[in-house]
Amino acid sequence: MLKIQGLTKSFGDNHVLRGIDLEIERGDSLVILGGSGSGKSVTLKCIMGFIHPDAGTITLDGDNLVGLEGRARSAMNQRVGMLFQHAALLDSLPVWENVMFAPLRFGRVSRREARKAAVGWLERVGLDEAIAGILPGELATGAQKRIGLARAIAAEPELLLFDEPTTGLDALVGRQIDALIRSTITDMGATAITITHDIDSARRVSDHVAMLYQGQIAWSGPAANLMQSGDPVVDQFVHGRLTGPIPVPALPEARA
Amino acid sequence: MINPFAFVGRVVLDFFQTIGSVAVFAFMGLSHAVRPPFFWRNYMRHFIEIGYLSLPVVALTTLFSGMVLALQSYSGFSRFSAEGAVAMVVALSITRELAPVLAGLMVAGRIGAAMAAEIGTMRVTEQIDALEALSTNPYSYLVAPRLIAGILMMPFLVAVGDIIGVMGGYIVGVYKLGFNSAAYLQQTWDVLETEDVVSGLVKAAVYGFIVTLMGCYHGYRSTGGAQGVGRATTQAVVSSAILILIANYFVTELFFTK
Repeated sequence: MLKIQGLTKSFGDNHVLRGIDLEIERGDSLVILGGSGSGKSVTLKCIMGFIHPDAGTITLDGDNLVGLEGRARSAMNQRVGMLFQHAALLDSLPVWENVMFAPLRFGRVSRREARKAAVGWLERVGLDEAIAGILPGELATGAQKRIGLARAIAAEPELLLFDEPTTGLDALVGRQIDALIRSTITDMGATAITITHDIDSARRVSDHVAMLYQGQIAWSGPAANLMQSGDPVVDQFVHGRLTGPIPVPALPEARA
Repeated sequence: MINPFAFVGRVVLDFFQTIGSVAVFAFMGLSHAVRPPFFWRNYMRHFIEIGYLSLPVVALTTLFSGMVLALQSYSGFSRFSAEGAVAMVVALSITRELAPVLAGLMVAGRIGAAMAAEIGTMRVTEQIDALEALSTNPYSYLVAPRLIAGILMMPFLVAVGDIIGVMGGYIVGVYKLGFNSAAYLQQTWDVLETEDVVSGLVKAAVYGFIVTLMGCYHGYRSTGGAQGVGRATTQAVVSSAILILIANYFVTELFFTK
């Protein structure tokens, strides 16, 4: 189980997170929804240890994730896999080395075995063996996302984090990525957190949804209840209304 | 209205903060070079990048510098009938000063800029975050191999530059100015002392450290997308060049002030 309690983070006078509490059961898929600047990415970065929260605790099956350094952080990160918003594949390494980076790094496999295993992971995310030897920069965004997903699951982590997985993808590729994420979570039995502002994507990959607004959880509940939550913030966000509690900057009137 | 004391104070504090930040970065990079894990493939890549692929640019620079030096010193020394000192001037200037400084500046432009751009791009595209997510310390993976390659490969480049620079002077001296070939080489051999060559190689190691440190540091700290990467690249080259010229004085003083 992943448990977040009282997570708080400020950057100067900007109070991004104001005491977040979340509990995610093992094997559950939680989507954190929220607009730009609502604190979704900061929450994810606190879980990954990229940012130290000002206050609060994060535990994975009872093990603390906050303030870890050196080997403790390294050991914890082996239990967590992450798909970055823009895949963040290492430019200088071919696809197969990207996928098998962590197992190679810890000497769990030889390079020959790693290449063979990478092909298996690539096939699992719907990619052909032929791309294994080429550099990620030569591939389309959708393929890069799939490789990022293969890399995230290759170490068979307990917790999977997905940062805006459908950003920059067309609707069809976005649906494929969502389907892959959903099947991966189910097959691996991993706990998953996805942050997104894509409502359709959220409904496809989640068991539960939490709505982040002004640094706090405005609503949380089963994904099936998202569209009829009864919460004014959630209603406005999921239906894309311009009026409601979420302020929308006024645009200049269009000239005739 | 701007308070002048506050302004000066802020500038001084920023200056010391930057020095502290660079020192901590250098310590982190070097400390990860002496403890596992070692990413040997990265070390090899940067050894080749700095030591082998920079050879043509350093060779050309030192070759023509040696040639120009022979011409200039001949034309200057002929005013007081001291043309015979050309070989000595070329040998000492190349080994003590020109080869290390020119190689340092050329490598700063070629390698320092590339390092800042590559690491800066990795920073803004979250590749450095991805490394951490994959339980890999970016100092071990990115910084340490570059620093060690810079420190070890620059002396090699300068040693080659020394030979080529002296040969540049020899070519002009013998084939254009009419010096006797054997006498020119003998004069070069006689005038050079171990200290002349060693001081140049020590300078090279220092410049290699400066260039790679500045490239890594500015790249690692770059922010703000493509513009930030461009700024980091410029800062890496400019700061490397300035620090090389400053360090040149202090290393020279270390070796040649009795």
